[in-house]
Amino acid sequence: MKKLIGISICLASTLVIAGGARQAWGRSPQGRDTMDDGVPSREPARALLKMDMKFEPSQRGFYAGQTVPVTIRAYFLGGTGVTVNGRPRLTSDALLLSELSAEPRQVSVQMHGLPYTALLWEGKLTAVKAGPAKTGLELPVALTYREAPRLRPLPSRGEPHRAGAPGGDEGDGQAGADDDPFASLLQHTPFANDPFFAQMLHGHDPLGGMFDDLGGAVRQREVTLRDAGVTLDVAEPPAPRPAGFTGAVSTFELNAALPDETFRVGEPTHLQVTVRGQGSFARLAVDGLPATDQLNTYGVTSEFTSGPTALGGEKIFTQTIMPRRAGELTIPALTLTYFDPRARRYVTRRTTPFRISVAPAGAGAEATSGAAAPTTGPVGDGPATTVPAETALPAAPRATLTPLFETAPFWALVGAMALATLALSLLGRAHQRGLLGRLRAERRVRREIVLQRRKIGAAVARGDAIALFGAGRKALQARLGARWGVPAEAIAAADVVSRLGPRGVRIHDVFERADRVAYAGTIGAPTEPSADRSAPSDLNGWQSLILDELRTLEARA
Amino acid sequence: MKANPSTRPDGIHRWRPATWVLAAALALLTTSAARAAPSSRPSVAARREGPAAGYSARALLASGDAALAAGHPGGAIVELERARLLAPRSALVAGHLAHAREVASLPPASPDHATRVARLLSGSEWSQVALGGLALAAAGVILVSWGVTGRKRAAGLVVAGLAATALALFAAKKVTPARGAAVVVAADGTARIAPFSGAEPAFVVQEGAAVTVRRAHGDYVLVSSAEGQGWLPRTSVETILPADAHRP
Repeated sequence: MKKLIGISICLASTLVIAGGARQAWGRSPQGRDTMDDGVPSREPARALLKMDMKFEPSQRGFYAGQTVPVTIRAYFLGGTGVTVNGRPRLTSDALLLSELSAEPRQVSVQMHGLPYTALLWEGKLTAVKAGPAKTGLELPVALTYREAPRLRPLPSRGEPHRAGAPGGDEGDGQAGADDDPFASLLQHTPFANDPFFAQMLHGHDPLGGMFDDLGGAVRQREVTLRDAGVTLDVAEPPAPRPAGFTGAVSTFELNAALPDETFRVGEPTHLQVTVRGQGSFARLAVDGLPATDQLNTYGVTSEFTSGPTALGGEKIFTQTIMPRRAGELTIPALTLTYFDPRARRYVTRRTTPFRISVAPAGAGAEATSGAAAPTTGPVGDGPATTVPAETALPAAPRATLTPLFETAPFWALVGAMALATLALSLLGRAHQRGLLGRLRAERRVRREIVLQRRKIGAAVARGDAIALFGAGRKALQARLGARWGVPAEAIAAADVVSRLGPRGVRIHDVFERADRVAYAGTIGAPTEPSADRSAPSDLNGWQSLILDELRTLEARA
Repeated sequence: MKANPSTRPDGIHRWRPATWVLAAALALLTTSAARAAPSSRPSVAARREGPAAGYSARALLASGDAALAAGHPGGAIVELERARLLAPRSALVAGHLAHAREVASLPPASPDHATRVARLLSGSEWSQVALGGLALAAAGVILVSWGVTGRKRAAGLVVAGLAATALALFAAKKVTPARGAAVVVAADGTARIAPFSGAEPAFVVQEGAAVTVRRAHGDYVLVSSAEGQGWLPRTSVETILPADAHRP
């Protein structure tokens, strides 16, 4: 809610300035020039607004974040009643006006021989961002003043009489002479249209409006005083910005202190960091100490106290810390980084580290995770001043506060379970359909064939016909047994002929020769009339024949 | 002799990849189970997000009480909310939390019925229930595949397991704070319309009030609360789950 400040200024002095009302709230260039050079204007302003910035003589620039003291002055011509409807405000968002005095100071001044009342606000102007920044200012006020009585012009012949003065406000238009018998007494005399009188009175009617402006008309206007201001060139603090720089520009001193007390595990204490200096305290921030396994730390609070000078002050940062372990403990240094506009460089101040001795907690336990026995309870009439039911709480530390379902291993486990379920259910279905038994049998057959092929190769190499035909028969038996679903060793030469017919002639030959070689020790001609008479005569040929038959059987399968 | 005409001698070539997939899945299962199992030793991630010794409800309760005694109800509420994540059934934690809220002049929390039921277990405990439900459903599928049980009984197992999983995950989500759930820990909770100290105030949040951190910019974070959205200094808010707690 907008705070309204009402201030009434009534001066005993009554000064009537003709024609002043029109420019009363505007600071005309003419008026400003005359105020500056001290030469009174013909039409002095009834109200003026201006802001003075106090730069230090040594200041070589204006940086974003820098603060300068300002004084805002609003001048009101004597005899003007003023109600200030708010505080002065800037028209630019590149600058920030802060810490303005709640109530303006009121002083009487003389300017160009005229009495003025000045309202003064003290405050601080801070550059918010780099670039051109205009110091334009506004102040909403309500003015009440008495306008000077003015001479009315003589009406010309046949021209209707105008009640308003030539320099009067259009808004002050009043009724015509026909409606107002007191508008001009001269008009009703024989001299009204006399050129001699008109020349003598310089065209003005000395008797016109003599009843309605006795001492001048009282006028009230709500206006906004404006000061166009000047354009400041705000510079950015140079890059690169050091770590910890929060935008504070000026000069500061840093000091840290701990209370003179016995430090105990689990008992909070306050680390106080005092920053003194001159500048933009609003941008001043201290990060505070981070929590460690030796020290619990909490948020930093701050309190600012203004100093005797406009920009001076003291900001006290307080951080609550709580030792977690007994023994020697080092409180590390705190740093503060700011930009010094005079030196045009960044400055980092450090506090002195503290070395303190921490006594064990009252209960004799340390406030470390899991093994802690907290000794400090809530203040006031809370649930407890100590923790009476520690055993009700799990003491075992957990690595993380993140619940299991928000971790990657959980979802990997879910995925693995889904995959395993899929695989196991497929296996189950295969088992139910007998696929697994068939797969196992097929694997045994392949393993047997591979073994017998190796034996065949070895037999050929050493010219062992008995081994060659024996291995060949076993390989063919294994393949045929898997195909027919019968035990391999139960397949005889007769089965081959009966099941395969003409296609099994060569296999039958191998079976027969294998029997013959096994019993007689020689490779003779087959006894069966269906046997192939063009059988190979050497072991290499028999090897090729057996392998061909195996391949053919596999292909047919 | 019984002939089996469906024997396919080359079928073994097609089953080899499945064997490898199964082996890989089992290996992954074993590894994940080992990693997911609660450990008394904190992981690297845990060391980064919290104290070296990890978090314990007892220590968090003590820390919250100490913060309250030090005049930081916001910090106390954060610590006690964390303690409640680990010990959701603890009346002690709930009592201290209610007291901290009272000290912070916050209205007492009034969770809905679903939340009260969900707080019977912690997020991790609900996660384990979800895994159990999933295992039940998987068992139903596997048993019916191997012909150990009938289809109706297996379907019952699957439905019950999946329902338990869904409900448990819902409850786990209910008791777990959102990623940006935070508490105002500074006494001056003036949120501003822009992320710098000179910006116009937007609204004031009470210390200890719950806010949601949307994003960060420099030393400020954009928070939303019942009053609206505004920028608070990063040090003025603290998320209930530490910054690196969520790792998908």
